[in-house]
Amino acid sequence: MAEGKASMDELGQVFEQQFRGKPRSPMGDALREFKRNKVAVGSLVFIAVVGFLALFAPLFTPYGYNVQNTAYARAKPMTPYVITTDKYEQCHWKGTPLDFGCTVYILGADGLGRDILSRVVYGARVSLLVAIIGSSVSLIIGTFYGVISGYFGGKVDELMMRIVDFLYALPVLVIIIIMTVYFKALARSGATGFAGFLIDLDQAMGGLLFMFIAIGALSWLGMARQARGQILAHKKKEYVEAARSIGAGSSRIIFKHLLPNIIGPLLVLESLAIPGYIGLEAFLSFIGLGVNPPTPSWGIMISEGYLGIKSNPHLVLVPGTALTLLTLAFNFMGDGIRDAIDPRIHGR
Amino acid sequence: MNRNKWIILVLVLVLGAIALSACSQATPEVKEVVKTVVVTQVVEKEVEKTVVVTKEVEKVVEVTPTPPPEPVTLRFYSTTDIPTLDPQIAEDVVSINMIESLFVHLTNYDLETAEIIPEAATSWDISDDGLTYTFHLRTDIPWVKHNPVTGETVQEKDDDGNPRFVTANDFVYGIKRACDPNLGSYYSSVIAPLIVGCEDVLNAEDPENIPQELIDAIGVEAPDDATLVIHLNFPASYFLSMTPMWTLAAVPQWAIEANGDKWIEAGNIVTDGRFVLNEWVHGVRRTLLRNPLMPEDMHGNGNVEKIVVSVVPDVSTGYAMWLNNEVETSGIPDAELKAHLEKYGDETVQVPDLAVFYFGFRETKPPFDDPRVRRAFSAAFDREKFVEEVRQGQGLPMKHFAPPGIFGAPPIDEVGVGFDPEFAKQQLADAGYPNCEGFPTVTLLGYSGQSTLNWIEFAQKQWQEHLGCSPDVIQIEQQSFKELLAATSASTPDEEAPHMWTLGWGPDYPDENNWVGDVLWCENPGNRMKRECTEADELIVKAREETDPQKRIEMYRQIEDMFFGEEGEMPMAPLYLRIAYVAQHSWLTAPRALFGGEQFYNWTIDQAAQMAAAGK
Amino acid sequence: MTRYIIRRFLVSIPVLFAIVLFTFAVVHALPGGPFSNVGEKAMPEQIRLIMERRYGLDKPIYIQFWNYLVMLAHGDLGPLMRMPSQTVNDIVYQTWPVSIQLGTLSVLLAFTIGIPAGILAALRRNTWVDYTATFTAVLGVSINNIVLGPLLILVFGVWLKWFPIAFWGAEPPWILGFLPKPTLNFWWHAVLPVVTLGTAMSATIARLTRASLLEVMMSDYIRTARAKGLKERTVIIRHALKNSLIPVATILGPLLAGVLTGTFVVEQIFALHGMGRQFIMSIEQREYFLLSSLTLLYSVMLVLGNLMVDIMYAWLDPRIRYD
Repeated sequence: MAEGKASMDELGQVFEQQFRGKPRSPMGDALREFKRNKVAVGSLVFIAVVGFLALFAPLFTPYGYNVQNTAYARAKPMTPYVITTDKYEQCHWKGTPLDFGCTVYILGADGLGRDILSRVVYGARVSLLVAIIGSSVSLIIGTFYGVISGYFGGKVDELMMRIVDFLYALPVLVIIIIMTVYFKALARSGATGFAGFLIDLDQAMGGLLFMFIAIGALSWLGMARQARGQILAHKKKEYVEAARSIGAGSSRIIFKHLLPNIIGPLLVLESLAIPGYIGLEAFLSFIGLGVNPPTPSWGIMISEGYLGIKSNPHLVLVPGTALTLLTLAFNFMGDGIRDAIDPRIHGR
Repeated sequence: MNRNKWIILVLVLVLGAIALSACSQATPEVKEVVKTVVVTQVVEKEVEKTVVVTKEVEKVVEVTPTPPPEPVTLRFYSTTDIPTLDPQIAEDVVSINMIESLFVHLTNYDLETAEIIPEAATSWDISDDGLTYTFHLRTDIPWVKHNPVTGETVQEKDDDGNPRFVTANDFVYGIKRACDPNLGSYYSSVIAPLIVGCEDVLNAEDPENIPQELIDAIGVEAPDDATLVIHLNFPASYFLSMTPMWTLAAVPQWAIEANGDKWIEAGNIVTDGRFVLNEWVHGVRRTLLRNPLMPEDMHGNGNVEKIVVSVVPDVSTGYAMWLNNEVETSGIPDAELKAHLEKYGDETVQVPDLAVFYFGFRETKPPFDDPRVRRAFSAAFDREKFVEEVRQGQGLPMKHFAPPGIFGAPPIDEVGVGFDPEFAKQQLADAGYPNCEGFPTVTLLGYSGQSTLNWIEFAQKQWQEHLGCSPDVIQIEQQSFKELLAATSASTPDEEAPHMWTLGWGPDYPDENNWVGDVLWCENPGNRMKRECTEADELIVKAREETDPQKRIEMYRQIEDMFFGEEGEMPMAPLYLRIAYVAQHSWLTAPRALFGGEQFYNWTIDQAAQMAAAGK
Repeated sequence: MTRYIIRRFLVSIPVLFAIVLFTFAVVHALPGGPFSNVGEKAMPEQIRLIMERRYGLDKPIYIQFWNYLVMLAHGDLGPLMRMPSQTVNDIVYQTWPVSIQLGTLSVLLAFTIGIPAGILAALRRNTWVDYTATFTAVLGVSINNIVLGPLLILVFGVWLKWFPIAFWGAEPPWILGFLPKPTLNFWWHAVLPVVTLGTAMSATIARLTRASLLEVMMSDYIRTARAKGLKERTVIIRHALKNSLIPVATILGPLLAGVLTGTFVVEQIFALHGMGRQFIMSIEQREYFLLSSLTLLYSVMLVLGNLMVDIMYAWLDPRIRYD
């Protein structure tokens, strides 16, 4: 995430050097526009920070996400506790200036006396992974599908879009729930071969893999439609005709000419969809179909906590705030990207 | 864009919503196709009218009827709707609680001692060979039907117009019905092995055409209206302790035959208990009222006149209702328990339900095919700490299977290894895994719901601490309850079954046979551990047929030791006996039943205090 | 137009068929069946087999599926295997109106709050009104139901005790088969669930209204209207508003999907006897018929909803023609 921002800045500089005094390029415009939007930039920074924290979670959390101390179950925030040697040994912060974090539940403890701060930070991994993987899967499959459909047209287009229309009519959520239930049951069976490999992989990922499959399976539909629409709008334009006339092949036209021109609106659409993926993960975890315990996810933390909200509001409020803030940041960022790329709002 | 289009847009919205509903509504009601068509037409014409309906709202709001004087009302909730009110079909505690109030049973459990006391039967004789039980019944209990609309309760009449009372024949019908495999009742299989001929019917080759001879051969007879005779296959001395079971209750043959599956719905149901069913809003609520026609001496010791049971899917919501004085009693969510005990310690009771929870081991799946490994895993689990910290004191640690209160169960602190880390380490080392080195990855399966998740994560930690097994070695999995049962079922191949799982067992009747005999016995179809038959199993069969109580107690002690002692087979690791804290308002006096349904007719409410708390 | 509607109907039949087939196949593939257990105990083999035969579960899956389709054709949504005194039709009659009432009220709330807020923000563009509204809207979109629900319960139910924290204030029998008796009790109980479900939708609508109105205000015909010397007020009300609401009306389609997700969570949190809760329960209990029929109903609602939106879109926007 952090690198992402830096490289975008570099990209901007390259663009500016190259095009100074020349006609403005759409990408350069977009970047300039985006950088002017303080809220969006702030959100991007926030997301980058969260990503950094999640990636290097052991540095920023006092404990691992599954270090239990049942004697302090549901301790309130800032509760100090008597720490045993073996617990202290597990503390990431022992002997550092943050040592007090080893003996205080800064954001309280959950039902097994696990440090909520630690679990929230680790839990960010799941949300961010869902955001990244959900959007990449949807972007890649959707773009690929839509481009092929739109570029080749005719019968191919007809068939491919029929399939999309068909899938579009399905109640996505219901399908995702049923698929997740099935995958969870599948994970139990001792299947071998490819299914067995997937099951092992899912186990290793704490149950994330099957969730990605379930979420990714239907998320690309909107993207495919959008990509097709863009291709249809562009493929009759002069620059495509020109490229074709000098003998460029289909793949060259698609990758060199069409994709760079249509990717903007697709990125906008995808960045606006990210909060949806995060929400979907939280929802699935909430109804008990999410990641496998003890992997922490904000959705699971909320579903564990809401039953005790009357006397222990922090069990919901902490992961709830985290979930809301991250979604908020992604929303602001998405809006920023849209405003920057969408030419209709330009020059206001 | 003209104005018309706007109006049409609004109309389309409203119409669309209604049409949507009309369409889907059509599906459930298609029994009468004509009706559906009419509905659609009306809807289309009445678009304007629906708007009017919303206007009427305000008028309705202003009218608040003054409530009539309240009967003494007991309000509580269950987490599911009642699956059934049919005594022979009922299998779950929610149904059984209702059936206890709606139907009289052959005998009853004493609330204090769990001894068998008279109910429909005033006395009984047991033949010397222990094979024939003769019950002498009272004949003054009426069959009644309650009309929810008029609120009237009237006694049923037979074809000749004579009032119907509960007779021995009604019990014969009920018990024979319980042997019918077509009911699909679990409890058929609990009583079938005991009663002569019952198993033959239950296992009949063609269940759809059971020969009348087989049904007639069931060992239940009614020499006269007041005498019921039951013949047993073997002298099972625990049969008497099963007679208060709902499965053996009398049921109204004529009502069942008239209404089929629907005979239990409000308005159809014919009952003979202390309460009648006044209302059953499926999935939401049911209401019971005192049966005014019940003989005076069967009234019970309580003063409850009306029972309202809401369906509240989670305890957390139910507990909040308790805090608002909307229900008299509620479970307490784990997360609220600490705060609750501090604040409402005097409004808390401890209710044991005699359910014991355990980790089961698949005895055929390595490495758990080695008893030493099983002993190690059982002994490395600190039950005291578990009960204290994870269960927050709601229970007692168990070293063996059957809890106190069950006939034949050894005293709770005797028999069984329990928690012994040294022993555990030694056993694991003897099995070839010193300090858990070289131990293969094993799975521990829990079921959905936060509580068991906490348990298995705690267990993981325990085995790390006391056996040196890294948490990576123990894979935690969580499945829905169904999936857990399917995965651990004896018919599931070993490759697909987990090594360990968590389950609980609650008793059906107060005898050790219901524990070692119905769970651990190698020939029992639910043999999840896939045990091979051993000496212990021979002893289980022997103890079942022993008539001398003293000898039986000794035999069961021996069996428990063969399973859970230092040399024990250890098919499971017993964890704890559940004793739940229950929030209960001080105006309610509620002696709880250890067995059978709750006896609401013995509950008392101080109505003045209840009203005062509600601010009335 | 009529041809278009008919075609859409025809197209949706294979969709519905496929979804029922898919659900049917997947739930039957799940381990365990409706009669595999009784509470924490295993159902004896012979009884399980008899019960499975009664409901035809012993037959090959394609025959079961065919039988189910025949049942559907007769308007029978199937039996409830573990609650034989009830049928799926009964359950649908009890729960479907609850979900629909919850969903409809939330959508209504969303429009009544979202549209004025969006208009206000657009007209007061770049003032504090706009900033507040915009920010609130983004916040509203960002706060998940699973957070908002418990939060509202905590604040308005537990701390302030203004509203009940559970249950729906209406129950069968319904007026006209699906409408609640509009008592005070009903509205009082509806507040928290409806607000939980409606907040995100209002925010979405407010954002959309604002963007759409801003776009329209920059269009040529508004410029023309202004140039004609019309009052700003007239320009906005007579010309801008109406056209800017076209895209807003079409949001109904995606909203339907959102409402669906929302009802699952809200019914869970507020203990409502609605379809979403039944759906999740039916998976757990392997009530095959209930699950398949509920899935079918959801699909039918979605298909009809989308169709409705398309028709409305065509009606409102003369540039769109379906042939």
